[in-house]
Amino acid sequence: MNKSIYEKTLSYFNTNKKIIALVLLLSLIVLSITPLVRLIYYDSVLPSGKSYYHLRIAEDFIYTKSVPEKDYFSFTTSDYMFNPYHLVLGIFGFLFGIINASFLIPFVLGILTALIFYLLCKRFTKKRKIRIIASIFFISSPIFISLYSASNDVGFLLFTLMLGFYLFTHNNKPFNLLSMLVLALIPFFGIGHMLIAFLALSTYVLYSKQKNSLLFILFFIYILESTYLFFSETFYFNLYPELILSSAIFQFLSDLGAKYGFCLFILLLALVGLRLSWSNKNKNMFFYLILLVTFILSFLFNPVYNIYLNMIFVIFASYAFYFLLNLKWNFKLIRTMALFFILLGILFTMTSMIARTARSYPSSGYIESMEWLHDHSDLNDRGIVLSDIDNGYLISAIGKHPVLIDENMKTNKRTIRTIKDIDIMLNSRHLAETLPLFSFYNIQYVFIDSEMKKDDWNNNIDGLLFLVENSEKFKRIYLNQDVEIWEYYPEGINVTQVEEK
Amino acid sequence: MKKKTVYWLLAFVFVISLAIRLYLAYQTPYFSTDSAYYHLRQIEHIRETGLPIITDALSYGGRVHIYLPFFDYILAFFSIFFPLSIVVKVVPNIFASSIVFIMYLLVDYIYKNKEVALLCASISAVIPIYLGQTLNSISVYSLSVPLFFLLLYYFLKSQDESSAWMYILLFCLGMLLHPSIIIVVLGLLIYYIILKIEKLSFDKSESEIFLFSLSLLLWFYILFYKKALLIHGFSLLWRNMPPQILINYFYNTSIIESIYLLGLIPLICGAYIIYDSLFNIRSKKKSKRIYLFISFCIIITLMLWMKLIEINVGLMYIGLLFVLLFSQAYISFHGYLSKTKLNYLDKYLYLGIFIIVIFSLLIPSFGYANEIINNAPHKTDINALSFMKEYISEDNVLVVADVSEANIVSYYTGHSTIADTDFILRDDVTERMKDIEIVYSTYSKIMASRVMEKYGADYIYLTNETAFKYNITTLPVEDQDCFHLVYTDDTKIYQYGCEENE
Repeated sequence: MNKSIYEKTLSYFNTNKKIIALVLLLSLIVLSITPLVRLIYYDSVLPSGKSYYHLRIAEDFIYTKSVPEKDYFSFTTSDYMFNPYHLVLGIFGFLFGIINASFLIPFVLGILTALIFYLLCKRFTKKRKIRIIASIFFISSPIFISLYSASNDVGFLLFTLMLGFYLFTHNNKPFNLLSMLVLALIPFFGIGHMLIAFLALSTYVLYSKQKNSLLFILFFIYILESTYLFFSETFYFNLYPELILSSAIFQFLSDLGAKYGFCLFILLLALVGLRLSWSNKNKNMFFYLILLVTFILSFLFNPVYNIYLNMIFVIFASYAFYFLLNLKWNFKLIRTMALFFILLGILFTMTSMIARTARSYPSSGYIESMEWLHDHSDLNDRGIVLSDIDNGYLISAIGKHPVLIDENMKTNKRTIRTIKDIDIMLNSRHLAETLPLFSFYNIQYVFIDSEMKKDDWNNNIDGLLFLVENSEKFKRIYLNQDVEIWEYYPEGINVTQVEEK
Repeated sequence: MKKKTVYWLLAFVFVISLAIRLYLAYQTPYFSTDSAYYHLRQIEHIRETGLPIITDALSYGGRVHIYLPFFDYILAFFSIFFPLSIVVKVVPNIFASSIVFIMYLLVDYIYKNKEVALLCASISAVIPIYLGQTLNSISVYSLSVPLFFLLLYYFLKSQDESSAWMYILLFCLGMLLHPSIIIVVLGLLIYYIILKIEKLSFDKSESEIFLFSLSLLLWFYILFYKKALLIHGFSLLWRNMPPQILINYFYNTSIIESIYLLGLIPLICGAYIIYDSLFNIRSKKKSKRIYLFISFCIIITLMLWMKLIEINVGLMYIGLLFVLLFSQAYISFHGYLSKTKLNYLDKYLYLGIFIIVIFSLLIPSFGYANEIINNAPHKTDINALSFMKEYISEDNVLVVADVSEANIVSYYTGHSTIADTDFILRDDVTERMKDIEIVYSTYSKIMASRVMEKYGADYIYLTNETAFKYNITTLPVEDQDCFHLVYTDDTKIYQYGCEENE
């Protein structure tokens, strides 16, 4: 019988070693592009603003050798909640330098996660071809690329959970005990993640009918940890919905720009896989329950839970692809072409995601401006900077100035008033409205980038942009192709002061 | 009827249909839609450079277009052999008239009845909405609609390998032609669901073809619209249309008018067949093929409801699908009649229905076609635009024109407008629409001046249609110092420039 090109390719990987080599090679290729592009073309600027937040906290760990209680640079001095990733980044940063560690850790974690994913597939699936397809789909998924191309605590979380699950399901007592240690880290990332981890482990225990005692130990650990963490207000607020339903659907498709979105083809294949699995619905009931819970968490609370949905979808999709591959087709060439376009679609979404991550914010212009701000301001008198929420982490990490707003505001209940005030400051053309707020928040600098000009003022000279350009209380102290920095002088510009600057 | 006679009659129907179309199209030297002038610019550019206009200096003061230029390439190709003015009037009408042959093929394949096929082919030629919309507008639908029905024909024949390949070839062409090909895939999806509900099954070849179409379509359009998808997200499905246009989407079309445009008899027969197939449990006429046509009616209705396609486009497809459903109604009625004592009327039935249906459609068709022809710009509009072209000596001049007239302004004057009907890749469409509205409707010189200054616009183009739209007779700020009337007739042109006067 004539074998198709797909079957021939899959048949080539007929040993475990070959498959592991394939997984390692693929993940190595996929994950090395972004760091290489950033190192070569972006002067080693890390992708995403949030990686600079992790960098700053990890640096704190290195210098103070302790866990900070407050984040003094963040929005109105936020409470700091311990994140194990910062500790890991701090340790590696101490050994290799913080920038190198920020590039290296996600890269290594990504490769290890891909490997564990394959090993877990091997544990639960007998069909070799499905394991290969699932691993390829997983590595090429936009979420995998997004998680492991930039310094990211969510990537570390997924790695931790998968490692814990792998150790938990291993037939080796020391490994099982080690899994308790690893899985005990999960509650630090949020109650939703803890719930999913526990649900997944419970499902496994129910099906395998063993390791009940371990589950009880873990349950006890989780209760203790969550009781302790519940009294931390930031943790509590993590449960608040971040999205409204209308925008939640955008968070599902990578092709529509979602950070934790799925490839449309994987999603469609997963639907087919789900339909195929329905014939064993009683057996799969708990699996569907995890799917439902994760879907609700993701849809209503935070798209970050898509990282779990991604694994479920990838597995369903690989079953569907395998089914299509083995289906007896009337027109073989049409089959080859249809499957080819599906693979091409997956490949395209993957390359698109890599390109997006590699070219993502910030550019070197941002870093230069921050470094300039850091070098040209008084170390003992670091004034607060007003900018867009997206620039918050970057300003505090590199400029070493506290910011009025950053993404930590989402977990801080004091934000509502401040957000209203920021809205007034950005949009009002009246000094009488704006200046008292500048004084109230002790704002010294205004950091404006091209995105703000487009989003906040529709490329018009309006709001704060109008004020800074027309008031004598503001002086532009820095300008490059991406960014301009204005300094606020409450008493008006004094010529000597400016010259000194 | 003999086979040969049927073929001659079919050819005759095609010739008559084309002759009527050309007669009507040549009632005006201009085109009935603004988008026709966009295509004209594209075709001329392709003829000159071999490439379509991607970076367009005459749209929004300079922008990039994302569009499929295949249709313009086809017309540009014909313009190598014939004058462009003839090609743009004749070729789209030839394409549109080809529906006659396609309908014949479809009905003949389903019922193996050449007389009924001829009847349906004739009806399809005079469906008012189809005739009107593809008559005088260089519309891509003049090719994509016949292609859609040809795809259905090959889909039904897809058990045969050569037909399956023909389907794939045509599908690829359709994909390059216009995104409306998505209707095929969505319709097949609904077809699959209906078959499941009715406990019928997809043929193996049908499911293979469907899977292929779906994967190819998704891959191609995600690739093609990648940038637009990232910018607009789901609003790309609505072509990033501003709310000002979306709100008034069905404003100009009433139910009565829709019935008139679809043709009363095909509509009644089609509706009856849909009811009978979907809701009449005792019906014995359930046929997979009828479900296929019903699926497309359902998906187009859904798309119309969601404002995903324009009302005229949706009605065009539904009108022609109802012709196919009409054929089933005719066959059923014919079968019923032959079992009654009135079976002696059988031989007159065909001729009687032919005369009734065709004549009931001819009057609305001509009425609607005339309306479409009257929508073409008038001589006074073109004179004004010619004046503007001669009067403005500078380059890079920006003109304020209503979005529905922007392409014609760009075509005749060679100057850019603030906004036109291609909204994709523009994130300031709503703002620009509002600003245009301010210029035409405000009595405040300051507000109008602010808009003119904002875009660096120098001229305002005001036709009777725009005046009617904004409920004005002249520009409200006309008497003021900054807005000078430089051309007046039915159409007016104003020049903006405060410094010179003050």
